[in-house]
Formats: sequence, structure tokens, C-alpha cells
Amino acid sequence: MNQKSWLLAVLVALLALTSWWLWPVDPPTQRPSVANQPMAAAVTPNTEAPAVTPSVQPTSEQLPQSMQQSFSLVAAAYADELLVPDYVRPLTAADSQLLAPNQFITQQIPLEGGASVSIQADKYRFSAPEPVVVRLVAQRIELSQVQVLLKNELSGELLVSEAVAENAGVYTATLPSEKEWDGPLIIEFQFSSQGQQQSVQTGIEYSQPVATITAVKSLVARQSDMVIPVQIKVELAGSYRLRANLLTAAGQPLAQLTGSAELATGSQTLELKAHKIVLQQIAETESASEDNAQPNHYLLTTFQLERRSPSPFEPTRYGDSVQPEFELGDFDPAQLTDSLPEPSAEDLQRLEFLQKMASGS
Amino acid sequence: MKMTAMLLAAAFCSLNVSAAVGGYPVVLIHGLQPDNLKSKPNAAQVKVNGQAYWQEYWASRADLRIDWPSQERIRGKIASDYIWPQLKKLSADGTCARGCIFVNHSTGDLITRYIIDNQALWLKNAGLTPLNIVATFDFSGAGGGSELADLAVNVATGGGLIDAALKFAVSLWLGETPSAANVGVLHDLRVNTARQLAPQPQSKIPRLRFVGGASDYLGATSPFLPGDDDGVVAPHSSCGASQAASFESCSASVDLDGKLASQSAGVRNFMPYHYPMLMSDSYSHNATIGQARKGLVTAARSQVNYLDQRSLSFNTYQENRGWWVFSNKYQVVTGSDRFSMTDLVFRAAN
Repeated sequence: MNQKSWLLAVLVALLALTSWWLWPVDPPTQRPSVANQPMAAAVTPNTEAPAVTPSVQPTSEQLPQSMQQSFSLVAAAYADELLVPDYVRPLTAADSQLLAPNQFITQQIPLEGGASVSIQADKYRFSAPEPVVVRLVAQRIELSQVQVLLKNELSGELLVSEAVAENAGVYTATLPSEKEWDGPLIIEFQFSSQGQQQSVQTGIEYSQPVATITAVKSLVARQSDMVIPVQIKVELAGSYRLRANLLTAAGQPLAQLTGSAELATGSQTLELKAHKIVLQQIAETESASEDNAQPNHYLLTTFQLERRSPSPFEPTRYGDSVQPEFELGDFDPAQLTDSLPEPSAEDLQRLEFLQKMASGS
Repeated sequence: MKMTAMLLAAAFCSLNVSAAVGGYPVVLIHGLQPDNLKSKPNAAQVKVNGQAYWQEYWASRADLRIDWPSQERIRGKIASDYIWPQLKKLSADGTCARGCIFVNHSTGDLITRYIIDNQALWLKNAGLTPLNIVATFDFSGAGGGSELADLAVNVATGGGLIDAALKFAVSLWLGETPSAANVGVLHDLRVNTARQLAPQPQSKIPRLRFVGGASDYLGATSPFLPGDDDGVVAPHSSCGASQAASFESCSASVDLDGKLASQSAGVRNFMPYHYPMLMSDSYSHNATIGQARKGLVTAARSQVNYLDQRSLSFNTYQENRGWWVFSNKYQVVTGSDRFSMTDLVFRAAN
């Protein structure tokens, strides 16, 4: 056997070995029915399932999990949620939606020839008197005659139309606030390219504030809660809900706090409460840190002030804050009592439902 | 004609009074009905369409439906003319006095969230008793919006430069290329708008999520949806993820097809009280509420703690090959070899 034939033989052998090794086995969907089915008693036998015995040992296996087990896991997770009161939601750095609830999500709009454009905005809901700042960004396409249009989304009324200049491939429009802007708006960019007219659009909201957070009063200890009295100047009476994020002085997210109250017009106070559970949690974390200068110093930020929709015929309105964050000063959680939150009767009923599903009864 | 008359009669007659999930009455809220955008049905036709939407499985298992027309906006006529009368009826009849379950599909998830956030105050202000909603079953939930809706609005109002593949995908989804005059609820389904609509109800109602990963459109819509989509919505929406991003699974340790493996693109943070329960890459957006079994279903939460990566390296001895090989393990929900996803849920609850 000459050298070439020998090499060929080795190659053929290797190919055969590789083919055998990589030969596909049955996919998981073709496995015979699983064993140990806890749910089997509740269902009729399967007369359609083929009773096939695999000719080779499978390289994939099925591990059965019953619906009851799935409900059991959800019930356990839900029970954990009931360990904290309604008005507190623990926060971590991973809670991006709660940390930035007003973020605008940019989306690419594909155009012919692999090009695309996208509309960017600093936020979804703008609040008077701030201007609406939006940008059109183009990829792999030259644009000309770029215009921005602002329209009332519900009526279609044109509110603004103006030309936009390019700067480093980005077309930025800054539209000064107008009093009639209130509610959902359409941002539309019109442009020309390749001899064709094109428009792209997205939705934002503009809000004329109906209430303004003006100050935060001194912290109060009340049973297991650190109470934060928030002062609000109310222009339109109604049922208000305030959400704000509680941070440590170092900016570490601690909890989202929620408070609700009926507020009349004028200067009013709405209380937020932070339960000892979340304060203690962070105190323990920070006490482990060596460079901890202000263990019990807090910040309140990311305000979401809503005058809730009183009926299906009246939309939610929004408020604002004179400043983006307030320092709350020092507060020692040790002065709070250790009582555990009591879940509401409705929440306990919800837990019972999940547990009932888990038990299969 | 005969079929229309039968559907009309079925739509207006009272629903099954003995319907229940876990002993609780069931309220249905359907999803987007694309043909509404052009046909613009009146109130009577909306009821007929609602009955037809759920006919295959849930219609006979529910106590009440909240039907709505897709050519309208959620915070507009959908709320005032369609949701509100049914909320008042539910309260006045006491249907939810001891608790009830809301079962929804697709955009019905978004509408359910809007109801959860507002119903108590609306009913209280009207002198009525708020509803006691015990849980919701969210099939193919669109509560996080759909990128397809953003793109469809741009196809409808845009111009000649829009990508042809996108136009084709949107026309497959909606049945035709939409025009600026018939966008309706698609505005509410845009990702930004959807995620800002009643984003965080305070009520702790558990939202149980049932998620598909197949496509009814031969994958034509998938390039425009991030992650392992179901043809209409991305997992960030159907799983109830807190962030609109690209995800391949609702779990950090179970793939959409049930394979037990660390999921780098699995959802780790969810909207408050959102719990993914079942997933399957065999079920498309619409198949999750159907009678027909499409394939195996997996559980988004695993009984075994697979966070320990060593336990994912399963070894299996293969006698015919004479050595140890790595073996993939798949978590399979018992009964999913016989029953459809929706049937599994109903059977487990009854």
C-alpha cells in the first residue's frame, strides 16, 4: 500500500467513526411516555401514544414534572411575596424597570437594502415645561429634507412641524413645551432618500402636571415603619398614588415605596412607609462593609405621582417634583418594632388558590 | 348564514353557569382580532367575534367574556364602551364576590392589567363593590407589547422605503397591509405604550404565564421579534419580563423546549407578581389556547435546583456504545404527551 492509499484508508476510517458518533438519536419529542406520572390518576390513558421501545440508549432523557409541582413552586414564590407589605417592594440593581420606570425603548425600523432608522427619546413621558427632545438615527442610508412632526395621537391634530438639521449622523429635534400638549403624542420624522419620501413614527406622552412634590418632611418612626411625609401642592383634587424609590446614601437601591390617598387641592401630605424588613436588610449589608460612613442615611428619588383614573371616561393624570431627589437624613431602624406584616384576606385567598392547585384537590 | 345565526345566538345566551377553575368563576378576555381593523365591527358583532374567538376550548368553560373591538383604543372606547359595562355587570351580579379567575390571551393580557389597576377605584366611585380577582391565566401574553405592532404602525403610515420582508411579515400577521386609517389597538400594543399602560398595579394578583415558541407564519415574523418568539410576541412580553430585551426562555435554567441547561438569555427579572408556569416550543401564539395538542410542554420553574451547574452535566452510560456520554435532560410536564397546553391548565385546576 503506497502512502496515498494509506492516508485515504485512514481518512475513510475517521469519517466512518465520526459519522457513527454524530449519528442523530431520537429527538426528545419522540421519547416514549414518561414514567412516574403523578398526574396520571387525573387523566385518561393515552391510547394514541405509540409504545415504541428505542433500539439505542437515548442521549436525551425526560424528567417529568406534574402540574401540581409547578403550582407548588409558584405558590411558594407567591408566599414569599406576602412576607413584605403592599406598600414596600424590595429593590435590587437588577430591577431595571422599577429603577427607570419612564425609560423609552428604541426600536429599529428596517428599510430596503439593509438600511434602518430609529427614533430615540430621553424618556417616554415628558412633563411641562420641559421640551420634547427626540432624535432620528439612520444606519446605512443618506437622508435629506428631514422634518419632525408632533401630533395629537387621539385626534391626529398637527401640533408642530419643523426642519431638523444633522449633526454627526443624528437628527436632533428640541421642541419647546406648549400648554395644549397633554396626553399621548405622535413623534413623526419625514425624510427623503433615494428619490422617495418616507415617514417613521413612535408614541410618547406629554403631561401637564396636576400636582407637584414640593418637599419631604422629617422622618417619623411608627411601629415597624419609617414614615416619610411627602408634601404635595395639589392643583386637581382626586385619588393620588405616589411611588418613589428609596436608596442608601451611596445610591444602592433599597425599596420601591407606594402610598395612596385622596387629596384635596392645596398643600397636602401623602405618607410613604418603609418597613423595618427592608431597612434592616440593607443595614446588615452595609454593616459588613468597611468603608461605610453613613449606614442609616437615605435618599428618595424616581417619583411617579399619579392622579388615578376615577372612571373609564377620565384618564390618569400625572404630577411632577420640584427636584429629582430628596435627602432624608439619618434614621436608625433599631427604633422600629419587629412586627411582621399581615397579608390581606384577599392575598391569603390567592395563596390558598395556588396551594389548592398544588395539592391537586 | 346558519353558522352566523348560531354564533349570534351563542354569543348572546348566558354562558355555562357551572364553569369554574379551582372552584372560581371564569372571565375571558380575548386578544387582537386583526380583521376588526378593516371591518370595524359594531357592538353586536363584537360579541359574536368574542364567542368565536374562544369557541375551541374556553367558551364553554367560562361565566362571562369581556369582548372588545380591535379598531378602538384601550383607554378610549374599549374601556368606556366594552370593559366598563361588563365590570359593572360582574359587580352587580356578584360573580366575583367570592373570587374569580381571569383567563386571557395575547392583548387580553394588557387589557387585564389595565382592569386590575383600575377596576377597584372605578367601581367604588360608581357605588359598586370591587371585583375579587384571585388569579389570572395569561396565554401568550402581550402585556409587554409587540415589536410587530410598532413596525405595523410604521408600515401603515410610512412610505416606499420600508423593508419588503417586513411588509410581508406584517401582512401575514394582520391578513393585509394596514393603512393609517385602521391601526386602532396596534397603537396600544407598541412596546413603549404597552409597558406604560398601567405598568404596576398595586394588587398582588398572581399572573400565571403560559408561553409558546412556535410560529404560525413560517418564521416570517421572527426576524422582527427579539428572542425565541411565538410568531406575534417576544418572550419579554409572554413571560412577563420586567425589561424589553431578547430572551430565549422564561427561565434561567430551563430552555423553551424543556432542555435543562443554564440559560444565559433566560428571563431573570419579572414584572411584579408575574409567574411563568408552562413553556413549549411546539405551540404558536394562537395554539396556546387551542384544543389541539402540538407537542411536549415544559415547566418554567423546576422542582429540582439546577442552579448548580455540575448537576447539568449529566452522564449516561450507553451500553451499545460501551462508554459514558453526555446526556441532555429535558423537563417535561406530565400529561403533555396527551393534552394541549390549555387543556393541561384546565385539567390541573379542576
